[in-house]
Amino acid sequence: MKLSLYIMFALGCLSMQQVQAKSFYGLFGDLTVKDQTDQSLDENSVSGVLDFYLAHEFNQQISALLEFVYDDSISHVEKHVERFSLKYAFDPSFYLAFGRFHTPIGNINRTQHHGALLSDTISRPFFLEYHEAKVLFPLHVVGVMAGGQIFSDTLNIGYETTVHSNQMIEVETSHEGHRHLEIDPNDRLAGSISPGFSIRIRGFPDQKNWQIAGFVYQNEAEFGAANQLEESIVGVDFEYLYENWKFNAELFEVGHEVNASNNKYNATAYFLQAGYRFNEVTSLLYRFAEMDIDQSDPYYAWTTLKQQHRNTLALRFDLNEKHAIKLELEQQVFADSALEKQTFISAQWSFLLQ
Amino acid sequence: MKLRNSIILFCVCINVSVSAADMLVVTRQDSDISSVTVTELSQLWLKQIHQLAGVKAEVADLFEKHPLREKYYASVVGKSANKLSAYWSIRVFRGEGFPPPSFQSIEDLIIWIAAKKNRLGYIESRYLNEQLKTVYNVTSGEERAE
Repeated sequence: MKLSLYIMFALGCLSMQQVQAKSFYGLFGDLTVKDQTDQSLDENSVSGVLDFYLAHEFNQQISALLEFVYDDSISHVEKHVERFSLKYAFDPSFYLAFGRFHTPIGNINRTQHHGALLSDTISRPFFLEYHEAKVLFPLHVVGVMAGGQIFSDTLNIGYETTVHSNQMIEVETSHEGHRHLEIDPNDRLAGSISPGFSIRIRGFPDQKNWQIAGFVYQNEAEFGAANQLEESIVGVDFEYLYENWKFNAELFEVGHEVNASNNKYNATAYFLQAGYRFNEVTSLLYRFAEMDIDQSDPYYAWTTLKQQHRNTLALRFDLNEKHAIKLELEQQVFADSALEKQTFISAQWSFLLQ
Repeated sequence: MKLRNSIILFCVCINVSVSAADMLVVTRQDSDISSVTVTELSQLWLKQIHQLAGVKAEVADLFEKHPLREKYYASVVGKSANKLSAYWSIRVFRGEGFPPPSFQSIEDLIIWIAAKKNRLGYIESRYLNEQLKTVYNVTSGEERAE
């Protein structure tokens, strides 16, 4: 039986208990228009995502979360369970949960995933993107998560750690002929018995005007025709709020060791972001994101990812707490000068329906 | 006669600092928390901070439709029910936790506060008893109204 069915069974049993419960549910949605500046707008450049979530606190210890996404993106339509989890909190410093989670690599992947209203910009740093086809950071894991927060006079500590299934990267082709890559985070690889793990530890003061975190991820992945590799990601992320300013930075060092050849390859990805809020409604943000890869790494050769950097300039209007309009200009610059530079312009309306 | 005068005098004194209709933020008598600002209260109830001067504090609510709760959030937190609902929906979605526990009655809330040190809740002043001390008078806007 699938893990998700176990979760549903457990939720059903828990719902029969007489407890003081709280439920939160809602629907995040967005409509996005995106186009290259040197091409005319066509119908394929309009996309939309609906993200339904239900969170239930059965009592002070037990809670559950289910998130379902309908993603009508440019390249394909996708419907999937984004997250589900059943959590038992022993106290604020320690909880255990099992299910499907956002991988604790970096801050953005944890706090600005689906739910476009919550994201600073329309696009994510490209190596953390999930809509377009060439992104292969392991954004989800299926398994067990332990975490908690420890409060002290000087610095609070938060931590999250997972033991999770291996990842399978697959190529899918939509009926329009668009090729896109999927990572299935719940896969048992042939001959593999060791689960992956990840851990992220962050420090932040009680007022939380800054936060710094370090993280480690390790897993086995399979791509293409049964090519297996050992993937590791080590990184840091940082956030600082000062008056109307908000600064973010994340760094990822990625290591691949191909099982068949024992060859090792390294890549570095990072972004720097600065935002300024003019008033309650309007804010402006700039982001520089770059990924430096080894083109001989079979993983990136297979995914056709090219070394590049991107400049993103975004303007955001918060109409109220449930609606925002975003405008964005993004320039994609490839390290290989023979490739064409591309500039994208996009607009998005995002909302929360409760 | 003497006793009656004393009672009248006592009642007048009590009335000077706290009227029967005042809304108070209270904690247990032996709590390490002795005063709190309105900003800190707002941050505590929104779970933006968890400590007061190094002391870990827990807070609780009355149930959603309770008139005292609406008054408290309007006065202290400055958020309407709609804004508050959006705020908690987003926090829950991000996995940052659920709102404080809520109780059906002020009596139940007082039992919860009295059960452990450094717990805070808001009550009407007529419910104030010897187990509790006031750390903030919401009605008058004064810290330590005791």
